[in-house]
Amino acid sequence: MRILLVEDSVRLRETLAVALKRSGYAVDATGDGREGLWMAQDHSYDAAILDIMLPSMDGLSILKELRAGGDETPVMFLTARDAVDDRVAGLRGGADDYLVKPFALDELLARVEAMCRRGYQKATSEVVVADLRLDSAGKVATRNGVPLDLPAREFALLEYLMLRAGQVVTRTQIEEHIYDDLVSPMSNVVDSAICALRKKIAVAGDSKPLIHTRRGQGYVMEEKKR
Amino acid sequence: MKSIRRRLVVWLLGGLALLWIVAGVGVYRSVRQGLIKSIDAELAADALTVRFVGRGDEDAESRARGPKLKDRLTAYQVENGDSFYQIWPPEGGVVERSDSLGGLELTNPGAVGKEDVFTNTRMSDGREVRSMVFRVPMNAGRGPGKGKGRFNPAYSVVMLAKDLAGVERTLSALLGGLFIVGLLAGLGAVALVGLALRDGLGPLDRLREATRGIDASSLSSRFPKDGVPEELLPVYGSLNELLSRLERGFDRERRFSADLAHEMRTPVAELKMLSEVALKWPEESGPNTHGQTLEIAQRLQATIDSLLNLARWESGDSQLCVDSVMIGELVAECWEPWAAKAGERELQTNFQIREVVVWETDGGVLRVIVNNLLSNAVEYTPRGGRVWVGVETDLIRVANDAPDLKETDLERMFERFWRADASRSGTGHSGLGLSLARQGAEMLGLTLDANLTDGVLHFSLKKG
Repeated sequence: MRILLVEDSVRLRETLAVALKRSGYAVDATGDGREGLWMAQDHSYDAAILDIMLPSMDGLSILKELRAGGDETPVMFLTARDAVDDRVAGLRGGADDYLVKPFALDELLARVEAMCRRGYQKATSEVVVADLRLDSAGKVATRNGVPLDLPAREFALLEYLMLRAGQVVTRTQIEEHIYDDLVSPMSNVVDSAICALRKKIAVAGDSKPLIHTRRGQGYVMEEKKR
Repeated sequence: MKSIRRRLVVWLLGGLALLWIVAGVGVYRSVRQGLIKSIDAELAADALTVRFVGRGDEDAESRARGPKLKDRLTAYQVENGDSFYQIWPPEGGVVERSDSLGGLELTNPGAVGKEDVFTNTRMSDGREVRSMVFRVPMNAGRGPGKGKGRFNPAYSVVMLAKDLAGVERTLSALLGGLFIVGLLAGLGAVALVGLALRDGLGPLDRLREATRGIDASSLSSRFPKDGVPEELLPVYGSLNELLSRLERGFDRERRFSADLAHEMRTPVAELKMLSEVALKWPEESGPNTHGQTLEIAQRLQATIDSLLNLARWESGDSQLCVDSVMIGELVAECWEPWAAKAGERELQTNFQIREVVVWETDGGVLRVIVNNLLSNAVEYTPRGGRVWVGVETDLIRVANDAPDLKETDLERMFERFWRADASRSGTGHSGLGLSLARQGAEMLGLTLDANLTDGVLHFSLKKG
């Protein structure tokens, strides 16, 4: 999952970026409003966290521009303004969530998670594909009851593939949603990550393969019925 | 007595009652006087008859032939009548009296002069009568010194009297009438005064109702002036002015609270995030985390110190420590910590400091003011911009390039937590510096003003 973070306090931005990355998200962060808008327009994010008071362009205006351009990315406002009017203005402006500073880290992570899930029309934190189960809240994945040992990025990759089960996911989409730095076109980082993930989810010799390669297109996660 | 209504009631009703009493007394007295005068006129007319009869022929015989007094004054002869006379002849002759007297007596007035005397007197049964006393010369034969009696006559004393009971009856009827009419007029006055007060004080009642509805949430409303009597227009004007002042004050306080919340919330959020991340992923924390924590704590402390100073200075609690302060030296000392940063930001500095300028003032407070002005200049001048610092006899000047500042910002820049950039990011400034500086200047009896000319922001700190 790739998150856009626009927050003008350097310390808060850096610390939050660390926390989000450690929780398995790819994070793009900036302290400038206009730059934030450009980034949101350029990339497809699973969620955006915006401060309201920002240099050059405030969070409400960024959201307005995004929604005017038909961008449906879930947006959460993160702000020190806690008046009811401010919250109402934020939510009416098209925000999906609103968190007042200071906040608890776990709450922020849970809300971000819920926002990302909403993007894939999922109401619960559990996704199931065949005998593979993934709980994004508990950060646990099991295959046929056997727990999988996945580092944050592999977990995020699995979650992304499972959320889009049955659909073809391109390499670029994976790059965009899972990796925060631009991946070189020559790199095989996605292929090796998929390869590693395939091995991890093949818990037993007779486990059916769930991640299939579509040549020239990308990957698709599904249970093939023969 | 604080109530206008009660005062008006007392004044109006009391005044009307007093007027009525005074008028009543006047009417009573003049009617009484009129009645007495008419009695006096009757008595005087009867006195003419007595004089005429008494001045008949000089001897008793001819007098006996002439008309008798009793025949003339028939009204005086009625038994139990209200008119009486009694005549006292000189030298204790037989007293002549009217038949109406019966067995009663009129009081002998004693010697009488030429003038007729009208007086109230009492009869022997205590009844009050109006009397006229006069003298009538008797014939010469009876007087001493026969033959010269015409020139030295003897006089009988005559008293004509009329009972005052009739007058008293008329007067008591008048009093009764006055009382009843007064009572009715009083009731009418009470009703009228009540109506007049309700109508006259109505606008005041409406004003009271309108003011009762004002609270912190309705400060934007104003009292409508339509249909307000002109006496109350200035009151409405003042109240509306007061409301707008209050509204501005409340707005400022609300903005201050919101700004304060923002000012404190962001560093607290930073602290919280740093600690939570360090607890959750200890490997992510290190000396850098601790350094950042310390910086946040220092910034919070600076904000709190400034707020406390501001509160103390505003309340006038702090004691001034006045001494001779070398202004040039003070400004130079204040500049020292900023010199490095100014160099780093490639600012062009221009100092014009007069050597010996001494002010009698509190050096500590002045230092805070100058420090804030200098730090503003260094922090907010664009990279490579110009900064001027000047000291004159009665003036300290700090100016800097401020191309983005607007004229409207000048009014608000002295408000607490105001910053040209609403996001408050970037510098470590809390936005309290200028309001602190102005408050300090006020406390020292100095004036701190800001103006903007050709993209240059000038601060001037003047004596007096």
